Amino acid sequence: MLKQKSQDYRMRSRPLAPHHRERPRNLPLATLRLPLPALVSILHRVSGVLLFLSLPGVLWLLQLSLSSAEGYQHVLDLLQSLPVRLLLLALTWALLHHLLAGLRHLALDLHLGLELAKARFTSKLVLLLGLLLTVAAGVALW
Amino acid sequence: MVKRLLQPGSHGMSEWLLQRVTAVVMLLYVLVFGLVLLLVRPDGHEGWRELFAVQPFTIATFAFILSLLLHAWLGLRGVLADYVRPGRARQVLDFAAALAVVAMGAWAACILWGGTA
Repeated sequence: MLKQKSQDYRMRSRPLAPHHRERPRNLPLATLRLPLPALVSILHRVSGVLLFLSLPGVLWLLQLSLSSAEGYQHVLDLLQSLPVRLLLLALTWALLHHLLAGLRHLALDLHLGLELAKARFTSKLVLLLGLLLTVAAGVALW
Repeated sequence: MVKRLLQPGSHGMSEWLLQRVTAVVMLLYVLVFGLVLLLVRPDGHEGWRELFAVQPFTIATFAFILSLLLHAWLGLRGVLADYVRPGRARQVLDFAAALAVVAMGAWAACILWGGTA
């Protein structure tokens, strides 16, 4: 008798009572509305991956800026170009959101802000502050 | 408490803790770095170079980069664990992530102490 694979434990079928047989088992995700804290959470993940992908580029810029005076100037010139600036702005948002959502995570670890109203409030705070500070950084650096 | 451990021998507590410790280390560095930039205001290539020549600053920067790489690796493992089923694909991606992190650590050391482009 073959043992069921461990990852199928969630899908293990079980006879349902007649009035339960109409219930959908796998809801199509697109039909569900995402609560605000969930949005903050998935953006925390997305921003993390974006930051990771940007690491080689950032290391390369650091190396270039330290290598020689020409290298340093090259970095400054790159930072003036529009595509690089837009990319940097996106990465600034990624960093700010990841940091703020991370701080919210730490607070939740300490059991602060677990209640629904507070959780919604802190999520709004993280989202708005992230956007605001990104705009501020953009204005300050441009 | 779950009955089945995903990784034999560990409940994931050290990873959970390490993720937060590295985050705090990074936060401290970013604050210190921001302060240093505001106070020192390195100007031009020479100033920038001089800043990174100061030993405590170089070491702190390297510690930051190592924390960053560890934090990123732990984060990636979490993402992989959620979206890629355990098996060959996950093993390969896990290893690729570890390799990328180690390579970037070596590169960072070269940048900070190598002295060449």
